[in-house]
Amino acid sequence: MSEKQFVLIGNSAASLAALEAIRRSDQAASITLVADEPMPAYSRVLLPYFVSGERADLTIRPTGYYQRMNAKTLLGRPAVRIEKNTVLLDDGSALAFDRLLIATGSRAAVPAVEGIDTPGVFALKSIADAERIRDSLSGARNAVILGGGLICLLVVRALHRLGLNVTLLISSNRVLSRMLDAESALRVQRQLTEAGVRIETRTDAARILAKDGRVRAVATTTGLELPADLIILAKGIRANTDLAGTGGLAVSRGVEVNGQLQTSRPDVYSAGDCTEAPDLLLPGKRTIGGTWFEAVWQGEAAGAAMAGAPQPSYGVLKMNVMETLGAAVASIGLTEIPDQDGRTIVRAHNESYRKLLVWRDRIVGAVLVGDVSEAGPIASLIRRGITLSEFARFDPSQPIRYPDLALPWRPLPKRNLEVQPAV
Amino acid sequence: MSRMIVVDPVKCTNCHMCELACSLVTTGAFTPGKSRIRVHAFPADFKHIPLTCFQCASAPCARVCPAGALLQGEGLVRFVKEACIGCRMCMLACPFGVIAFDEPTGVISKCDTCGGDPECVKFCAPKALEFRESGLAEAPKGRDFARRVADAAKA
Repeated sequence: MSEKQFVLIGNSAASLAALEAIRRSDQAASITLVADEPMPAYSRVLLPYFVSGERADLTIRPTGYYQRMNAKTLLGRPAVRIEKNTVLLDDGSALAFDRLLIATGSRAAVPAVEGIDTPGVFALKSIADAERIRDSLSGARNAVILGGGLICLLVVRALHRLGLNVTLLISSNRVLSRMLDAESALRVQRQLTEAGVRIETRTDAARILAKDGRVRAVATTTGLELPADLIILAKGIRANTDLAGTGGLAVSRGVEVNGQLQTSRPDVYSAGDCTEAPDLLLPGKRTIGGTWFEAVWQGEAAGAAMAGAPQPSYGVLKMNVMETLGAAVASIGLTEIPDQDGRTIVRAHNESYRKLLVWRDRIVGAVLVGDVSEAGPIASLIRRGITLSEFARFDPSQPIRYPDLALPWRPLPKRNLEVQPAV
Repeated sequence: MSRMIVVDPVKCTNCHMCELACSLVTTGAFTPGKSRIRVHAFPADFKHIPLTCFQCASAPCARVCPAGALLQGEGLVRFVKEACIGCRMCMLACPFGVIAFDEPTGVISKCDTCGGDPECVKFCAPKALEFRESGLAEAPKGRDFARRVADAAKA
């Protein structure tokens, strides 16, 4: 095998998974991993735990990892441009590649609000952000969080642990509106409120008020003025697509790829938060996964394809799990049925809630609150496209267990195997 | 090649001794609800299927763990309790549903084969559980298991 040149841009879930996948089938290739941030790989999932002081060490690979993977690293070296078969770095150097992976991740969305650049307004996307938040904590009493998504709830947990008064400003009518259905979101909200978190729904920040060059309060669109020593942005993410743009790749909200994570240019791949990949459940649609899970799976699939050993791919399956101040919540796939061909099966008790979404002959989504032990088998059956008629015996009132799926054993669906043009 | 707990559902008599043995070793009390091996009963089919961690060779749980708490080993997926943040991502990643969450400690729990000498196997009188060499890689492990389940359904 000739010695191929692989260049990976990024140093988080997707890039590391790709690195490992390439090495599984190609020991000889030259691999160079390039990243903006100067430190070895760390887990962004752990950032809220760093803020709360629960975790100091965020590294997710042992020391000597890159050497053991026989990968060169150029850390703290932003890639600025793709030109023909080279990537230009910020110091003007050029890296030639046979295969390139763009795993540039995402940044926090910044709402257009007057005073949003005032010191004391933070995102939580990097270790540098987390350090800035920690530095601003001494003497802080009030925190306002803009947004009600997943990051928001992890930040709430961290700040609440630190004893701050936390207020959430949410544009929609509930928390986690893109991850949960109304009923489960209300359950989460009730728990947060009981724990002392103030939640203002259908409310946005109108203006950030400053005093002595630091944030002092948030004026809301509903006419409130909420005191704030720090403000955290949690209005979702934006894909980092600038680098892909310089190479003339097809980009919409994210870098467009096909089922093999290949961009509009066959030798360039994209994986993770910056990527808009075919959706598993919505044919013809592309979705930004935006989760750690999806970044790992996409990185593995991209790495395998780059090394010439493509795996069957299944498309983006939205799923996530988290624990707020109280119960765990998990959601997999869709949270509302797409049309009248579907039905929902709901079981709710005081502490737990379970909703299964059945569309035609298959399960297309689930929301679980409390006990999430069914989540793995459900995710697996959705990904493998198992229909209910293939079940040995489908009883919607019973938890779904692996043996239900094992009959018959089915490999991943083949339909996404064909490599289609990305446009 | 490494040893693993191999399940033969055809032989399982639904006695739940494995659950008692497991919970005693891992929690110090007979608490089958906390056992890391669970016998799934399918009463309508007269089938009972014990299920525990397969110690996958390329374990999805270890691949997604964002806290470095699940480490891929040879014949064992090692759980580092101190590193676990209780995010439950592994529970979503595991198709077998064999990772449990332990509320009091706030971390997950999964089979560690009792360090290579699993107690459940010793207490399985009908020998539905065996601890032996198995050269099967991850997918075939699941496939092999599925075949056993299928055989059990036919039997």
